[in-house]
Amino acid sequence: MSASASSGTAPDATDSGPDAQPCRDLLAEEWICAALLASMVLLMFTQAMARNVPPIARTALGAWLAHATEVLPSGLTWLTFLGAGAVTRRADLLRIGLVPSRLGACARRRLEIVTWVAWGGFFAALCALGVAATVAQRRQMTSLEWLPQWAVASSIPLGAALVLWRTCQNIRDLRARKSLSATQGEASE
Amino acid sequence: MNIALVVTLIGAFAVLLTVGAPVALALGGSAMLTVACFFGPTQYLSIPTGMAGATESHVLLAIPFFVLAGTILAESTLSRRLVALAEIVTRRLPGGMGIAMVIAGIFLAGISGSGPADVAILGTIMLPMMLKQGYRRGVASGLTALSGSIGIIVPPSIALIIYGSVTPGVSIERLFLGGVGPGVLMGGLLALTISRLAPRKASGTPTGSEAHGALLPALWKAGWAVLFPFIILGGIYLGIFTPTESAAVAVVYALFVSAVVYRDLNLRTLVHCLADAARITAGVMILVACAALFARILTLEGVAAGVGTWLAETLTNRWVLLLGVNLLVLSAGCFLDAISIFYILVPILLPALTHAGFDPVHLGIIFSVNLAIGQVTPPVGVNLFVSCSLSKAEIGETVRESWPLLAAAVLALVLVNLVPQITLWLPNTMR
Repeated sequence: MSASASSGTAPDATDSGPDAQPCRDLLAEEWICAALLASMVLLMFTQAMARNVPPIARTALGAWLAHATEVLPSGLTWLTFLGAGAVTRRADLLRIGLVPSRLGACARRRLEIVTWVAWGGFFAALCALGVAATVAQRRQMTSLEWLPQWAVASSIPLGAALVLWRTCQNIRDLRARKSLSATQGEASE
Repeated sequence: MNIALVVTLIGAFAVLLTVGAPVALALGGSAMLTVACFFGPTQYLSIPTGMAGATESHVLLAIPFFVLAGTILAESTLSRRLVALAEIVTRRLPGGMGIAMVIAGIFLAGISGSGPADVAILGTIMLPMMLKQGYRRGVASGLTALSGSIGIIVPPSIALIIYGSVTPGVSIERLFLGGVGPGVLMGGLLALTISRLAPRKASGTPTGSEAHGALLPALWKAGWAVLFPFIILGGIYLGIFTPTESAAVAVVYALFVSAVVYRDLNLRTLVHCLADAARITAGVMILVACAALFARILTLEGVAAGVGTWLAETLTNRWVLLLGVNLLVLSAGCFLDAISIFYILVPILLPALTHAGFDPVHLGIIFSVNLAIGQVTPPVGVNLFVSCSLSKAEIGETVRESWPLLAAAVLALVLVNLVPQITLWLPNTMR
């Protein structure tokens, strides 16, 4: 049984310290999410400082910062759905495997493929629904009145498509591992 | 209430969870299946918009920032300095090393906000030292798991941020303050218990002058770490920052301490910290989005209101009601994570409990203490698994040998339930 199972389908950046890992090991979406997160921190910190310094808070910069900070929750939505691709590829998902721990290696791998297929199916449906939601909201504005709703909603189909692609890669790796072990078995015979 | 709908929702959730599907899929997949089977096509678009809406929250914005601050500090030598200070402060007490672990656990909780991360840090640094001093493997492993689980109670707890986001009218500031008393109480009881469980040779190393001589340099080296929780909480309660802003300040403080003061951080490490924090956040937030979808169906179908009314009508004695809720949350905590539990159970239980006169902040802390115990109890105790894998102890051995520690945690839970002032004194005083 495991509370946080990871199938180990991709090289895991957290296995060893960052010093042992060159940055090129990061996935494309991890680079984007890292940049997004850094910008969010910078914006929020600048706003926190500017709000407490009245000469800045009263200027146009202060007003712009207060306005810009309002968009940060939408950044969190983008971070969530883009980051989901990396979470999938690194198999960094919380699982409660009461049944898999009681199965043999072969049955466990098959069950793992089935759960990945279900994961991919969920995100395929989410991608299709996300496209429909984005199209339906193309003329609407968010509560900020200057940010179109589609700018937030489009994170769902894009992120879901990314998850779907990463899931396919995971399934391919799992199948490759099976054929590799079969080849090794034949060779040893 | 449509019984077939509820059976489909809960049944699909249970099946997916049991076969080892990700918890997010169990929640989101069962909700999507239920919408497809029982709702018209007009409701389909509510799935993506509902999920996006759940993540687009100003309160939840604190999560990536606190995770990033914790990731940066975990990469620095800060945790080792903190442990060294705690060890020097407690070395003259019986079971000093064990008490040092509890103290370090409370301070690490105030920095990282993640239980399993704290267990990994404490286990890597302090478990070998405890085993060398003759602590039984199961006791050391159990104490590591429990010290890490304090992270869910002590601010800045991610679980408390989630609870605040799903509970209307409860401020994160009050929740954070409310967690201080119970966290310290649980730590105190664990420290008392470990001093009784410590092996004789580990008890007291009275090298007074040596200890005094080492204290100041250790305090100087770890001072930046000790200041961290006070800067964050002080900023919030002096009205300088909002909780979300304080999380961004925490990141900048962590960067300053790691890069400028300790000189542990380079650009490559920072990029990895950012990528790790983003990935951890995405994992948490996908769970939030799926749990919100699941909870929305429970609310729309009147399940939450129905069960809440039934509870209020059946358990008319408020203490029996509280006992029932504790048993429910405690058993749920043995199988599920805090985020799912808060999203599923809070809408169901909170109306009945607030109707019975309980304070929502008190309830949030009661839930958190239950979940802290759930993190160290089989079959799905995340902290227990991490500490057992680090100590190479069997889960059964750990549970068998560390039961007095678990009993101390349960005693803390009982006290937090029966004496609301432990939770509410600080938030009410600093109002």
